[in-house]
Amino acid sequence: MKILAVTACPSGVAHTYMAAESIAKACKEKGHECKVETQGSIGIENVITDEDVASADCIILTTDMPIKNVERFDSLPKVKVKIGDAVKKSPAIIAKIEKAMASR
Amino acid sequence: MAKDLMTKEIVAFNVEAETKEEVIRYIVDMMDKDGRLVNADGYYADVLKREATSSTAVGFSIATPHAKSEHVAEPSLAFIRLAKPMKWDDEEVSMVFQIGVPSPGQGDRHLEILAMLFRNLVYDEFVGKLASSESEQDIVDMLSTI
Repeated sequence: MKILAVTACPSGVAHTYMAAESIAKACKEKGHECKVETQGSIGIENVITDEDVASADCIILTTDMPIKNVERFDSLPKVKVKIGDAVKKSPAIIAKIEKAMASR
Repeated sequence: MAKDLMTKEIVAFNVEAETKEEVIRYIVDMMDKDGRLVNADGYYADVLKREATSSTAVGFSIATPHAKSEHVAEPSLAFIRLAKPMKWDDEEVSMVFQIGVPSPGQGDRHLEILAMLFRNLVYDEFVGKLASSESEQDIVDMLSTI
């Protein structure tokens, strides 16, 4: 699968980046392609493009802060998670996505 | 010539402290002794001011106090391990990274340093090495390669 994600947290300093890395790590471990955009204190990095959206299966969005330009992802199934869960429970989130996508 | 962001002079193990104020003060003094600050008390106050807005304990037994401050001369990343874990606001902390970046100037350098650090904290191997390294230079080498 190709899984996209956007992470953002209130301070924009810590959890944004920990969650991004945790999601990327969990995807890699399960052999999924992954791209994570961070909307943090140093601006928006690793921006998800229209091409990424076109080739992706779903997108993970963190819910603690409004995600900028979220309308880009209208065409994709969305998985909304708290950023704390994205940091600590990414493997479980990916497993849930695998299960949900398999039954679609 | 500018100093490296981190050198073994600003890494310490087995630091005795009971409160986060003591830890921050200890690191401020370490940075000051290494000639990285303009005004140690001013930088200390700036770090506490930032800490008061929200805790910098981020899980993984790590806290990351930081400030961009006119009282800092050289961008600096210090690391200490505590002799025993302490309560840092709501979390138990046993290791501390502290960052100081001059203001004005340097842009968002301290935030970039933090972002790089936080990305690495989700790797057990990284945190395990931080917790177990026997020499200050090992810590410096680890951080210089990420």
